[in-house]
Amino acid sequence: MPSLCRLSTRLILLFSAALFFHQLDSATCSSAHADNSHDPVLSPADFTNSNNVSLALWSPEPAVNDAAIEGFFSQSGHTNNWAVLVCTSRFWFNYRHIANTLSIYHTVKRLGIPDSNIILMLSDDVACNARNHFPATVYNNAGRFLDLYGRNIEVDYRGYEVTVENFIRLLTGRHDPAVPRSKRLLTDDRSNILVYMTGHGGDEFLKFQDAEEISSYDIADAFGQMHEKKRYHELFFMIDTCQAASMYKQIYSPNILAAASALTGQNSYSHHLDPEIGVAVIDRFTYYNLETLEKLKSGDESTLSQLFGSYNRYAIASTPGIRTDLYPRGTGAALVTDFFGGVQNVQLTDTGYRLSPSLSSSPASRRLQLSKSGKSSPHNDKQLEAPPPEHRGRSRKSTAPRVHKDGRPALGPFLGGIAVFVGLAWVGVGGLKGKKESVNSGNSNPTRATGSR
Amino acid sequence: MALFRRKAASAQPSDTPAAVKELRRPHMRRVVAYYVRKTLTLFSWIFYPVGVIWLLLLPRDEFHHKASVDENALLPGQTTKYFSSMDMYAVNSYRLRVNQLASQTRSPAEYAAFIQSELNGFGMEASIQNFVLATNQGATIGANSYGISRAARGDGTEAIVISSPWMDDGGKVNADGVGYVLAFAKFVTKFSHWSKDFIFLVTHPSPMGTRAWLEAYHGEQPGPNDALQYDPLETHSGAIQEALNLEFGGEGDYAAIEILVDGLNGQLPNADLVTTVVNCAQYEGIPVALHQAVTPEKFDSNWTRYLHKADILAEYMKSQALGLPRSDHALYAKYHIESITLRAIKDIPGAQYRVSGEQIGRAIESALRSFNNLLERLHHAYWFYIMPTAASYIPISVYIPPVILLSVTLVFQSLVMWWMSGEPGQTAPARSQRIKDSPYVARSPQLSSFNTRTRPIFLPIVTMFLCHATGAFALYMSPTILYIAQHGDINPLNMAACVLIVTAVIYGFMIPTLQRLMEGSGASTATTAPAWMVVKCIACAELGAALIALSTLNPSLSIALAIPSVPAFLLAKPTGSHNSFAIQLIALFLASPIGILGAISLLTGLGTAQDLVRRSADGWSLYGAWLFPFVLLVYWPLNLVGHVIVGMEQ
Repeated sequence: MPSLCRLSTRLILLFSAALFFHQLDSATCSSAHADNSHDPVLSPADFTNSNNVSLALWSPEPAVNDAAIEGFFSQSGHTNNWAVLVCTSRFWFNYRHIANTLSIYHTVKRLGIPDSNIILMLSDDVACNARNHFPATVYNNAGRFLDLYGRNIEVDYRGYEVTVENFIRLLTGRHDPAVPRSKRLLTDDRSNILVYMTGHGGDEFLKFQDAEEISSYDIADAFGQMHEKKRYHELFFMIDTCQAASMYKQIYSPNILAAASALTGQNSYSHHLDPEIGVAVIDRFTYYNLETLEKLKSGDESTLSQLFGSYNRYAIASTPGIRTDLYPRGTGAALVTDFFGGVQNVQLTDTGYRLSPSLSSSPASRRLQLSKSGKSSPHNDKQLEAPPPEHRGRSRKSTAPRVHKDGRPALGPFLGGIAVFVGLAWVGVGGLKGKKESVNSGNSNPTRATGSR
Repeated sequence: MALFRRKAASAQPSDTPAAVKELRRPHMRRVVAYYVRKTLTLFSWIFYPVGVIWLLLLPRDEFHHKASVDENALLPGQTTKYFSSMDMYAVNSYRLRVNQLASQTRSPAEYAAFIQSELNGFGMEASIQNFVLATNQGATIGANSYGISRAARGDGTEAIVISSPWMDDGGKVNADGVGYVLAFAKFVTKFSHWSKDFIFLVTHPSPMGTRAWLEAYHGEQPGPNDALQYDPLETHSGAIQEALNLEFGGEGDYAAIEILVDGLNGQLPNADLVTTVVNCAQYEGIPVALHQAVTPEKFDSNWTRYLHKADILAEYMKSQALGLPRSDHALYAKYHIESITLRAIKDIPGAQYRVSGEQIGRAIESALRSFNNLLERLHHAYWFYIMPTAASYIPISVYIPPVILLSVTLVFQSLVMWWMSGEPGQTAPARSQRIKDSPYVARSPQLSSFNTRTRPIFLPIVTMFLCHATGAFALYMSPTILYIAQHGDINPLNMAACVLIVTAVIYGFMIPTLQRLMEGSGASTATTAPAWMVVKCIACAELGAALIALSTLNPSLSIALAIPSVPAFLLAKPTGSHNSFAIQLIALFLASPIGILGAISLLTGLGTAQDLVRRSADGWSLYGAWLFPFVLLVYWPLNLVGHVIVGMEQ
């Protein structure tokens, strides 16, 4: 199974890379995305629906081929999504900050980021606070439609664990060896990270727990270090606090997009209070973000610029700040689900893959090799953890060729025909690998893992 | 005159010889000192009228801060109120039962037993604390009953007290107040959103019962000779954070709610507590009064607004200056418990609006929810403020300058006296001049250090000691004197005359005699300063320091004592003129305690002054109010010193 997957992957890589060099002029990320979103016939969703990019590639119509390849290259380029959601405020009257954070938690989970990829930091436990009129619940609306604390909440850092030190350690991955994996940000250079923070802040600082504060420089340096350590592919920093825009001012690392609830010098306000609970239940910026986010479904095509366009500074009562200068891809090309949604790794097939003996190497044996070579950084751990046969691409724009259910008779000759290329491809990959890494999304990891042998 | 020899070997003779140059600096120093002294002598009184005018400006709106809650956790009035007509029914029925019980028996033990059984009925740990107070009038037996409602999901480390005296201020049964306490005891058990325990306390008689209860709650035990003997408490809760005292001596139909904030010795609760209670009441539409006056939204003119606020401020300052407990809340401040009394006002002339019992219940519930929200002690807002209306305050930063200005005059006067006694120079020192056609310089006489006088210290110390000893003796004798005054049925005017004669004998005869026996008359000589200057220096320093220190603790008392005593002390000095002698004596008399009491009885009647003396003496012996000892140990002895100064020799 893994071998087949890898094999087809390599083929795609080979072809796509070759085509890519021919079309370098036109196939930039942003333009490709713009094309896709405006092309009613050949949107990436079509290929997702047909579930077979490889077939599209072999289509006799060149237009279809081109579109497929553009669609292939124009996506975000990440293979996994992470979210770091931080509520820095303690105390009952800051109920809304916890509700904010849990609302985003609920959203990103609904849009497909699994709990294992969400680091949730809550400074206080308002659900179990004696003052809570509705014990063991957290609501973000006076209508109390949705209990955010209802089921399946996984708080990774709670109470006094939410400190500036822990937050920076989490981002930079400098943990004590005893810190469990569930409390680590096990990202790599293919990870899109959403960092959401809320609490009480001021000009270039955010208070943690009333005891300490994090400055915009701390955040900028932590992100800088993450970039050096290749801990992210793209990062979306969202912050809801007073003078929030001052918090992203010092960030200097590439591929970071930031959105803040208020400009420097402005306060950020709560949206409404629930008189039964007796406290404000949500902040305005988060509330109006959720207005958009709650309507999205997994695999939605809305772009971040659409999200940002939805901000109404009169409704929010402060002017949201957006920082895009470190984000060359552009908010028009980035999807909301690139950060708020998860990359789905599940693919169902009704027949198993056949392993060719020459390529079979069990994950176990490879793990052994890697651990022998002493590489046990979280980065590598992540690779080990990910089972090689799984496609790590996005489900809605399947980057890996998939074996179509009723395409199997057609696939036989296809496979037979390309079997002779396998050997050549195998040699060729080595030469192209370096370039492919930067453009290829889903399939690089298994490839590299094998290639490193 | 000293001559300085010019060194012959020095350089060319010039117009300004080195000796002249050398003498410039001491000369300048003397000149500066002279003018500072002169300025202070002439103008130090200016601080006093500035302070008085500033005080008179305080009722103006520009000096008022609108009360707002600084503590984020309080969130007053944001919650749904659950206090309903059923709860009001409980209040009404308890009022009837309390009135019924009060008409049947006079025994505090039976009252307490009734409260205890009711609290027990709500599933609370309720118990009774008995106490006995031994006074000159005989033993007073009392009983407090209290119940503790444990917060269902709280940790039991903090508590809120809801208390009510059985009798209200006017000696009527506080049936509605007790009814609310019992109804709330029933009410709070219905909810699980409380984070703090509630202690429901009914005291009788009060505020002595509150003192017994608070002392017992905080682990104190009465000594064997103490006038107040009380039982230890059977059940406890956590640290008491806030206390709400209810005095509703009516039938559930009121015109407004009055807040009583100032506690023992004028200590105030945190402004956030006051603001929260006022806001919660106002959100329910209840007019909130301060010193029996509800501030209207609009006034006819600025002048009526000024008068209204000046009136409230005067009442406020009077009440704070006395520092005597006006209700149960006054005694909590000692234990760092923020407390306030809500007292119902039955009728306000001209006001048609009536407050329903449910409104009051919801306001109290709302305030309790706010207190419940608190996570720390109240610490954000001011502890030092003066309130011109229930919904605004003058913070310490605004009112302290005039208070200090009044008393700082005395400090400057003390400095002036010290300088004057040492260097009596009446003219500015002259420059040193070169003697014509000679290498010598004539030094001006004012620069000579032989001109300074020595200051007599022993006589001033003797005088101060004697006066303070007199005050201490008066404090020691005060219970006896009061006992005699009360039981001998002595006319207060006779009593006052007696005190006056004794005082006059002390300052007019005894102290001068003792002075002369021990040291001499203290008249000035060629080389010694007159003793009265040093006496006045020390007395002004002490009074100024005492009043300035007091201004932070109890600004109203500082103002009340500074206004009469500062001019009297500025004037006091030995004089040959009969007129100025009379004026000085009158000023000193008006500043003396007897003079102040006389002024009060002229203004408001003899009974008030009599009552004031009794209450302040009781406040000291029963509750530890500082007014009485402060007056007898500091203020009155210094006033005596002032009298002595007038009679001393120049």
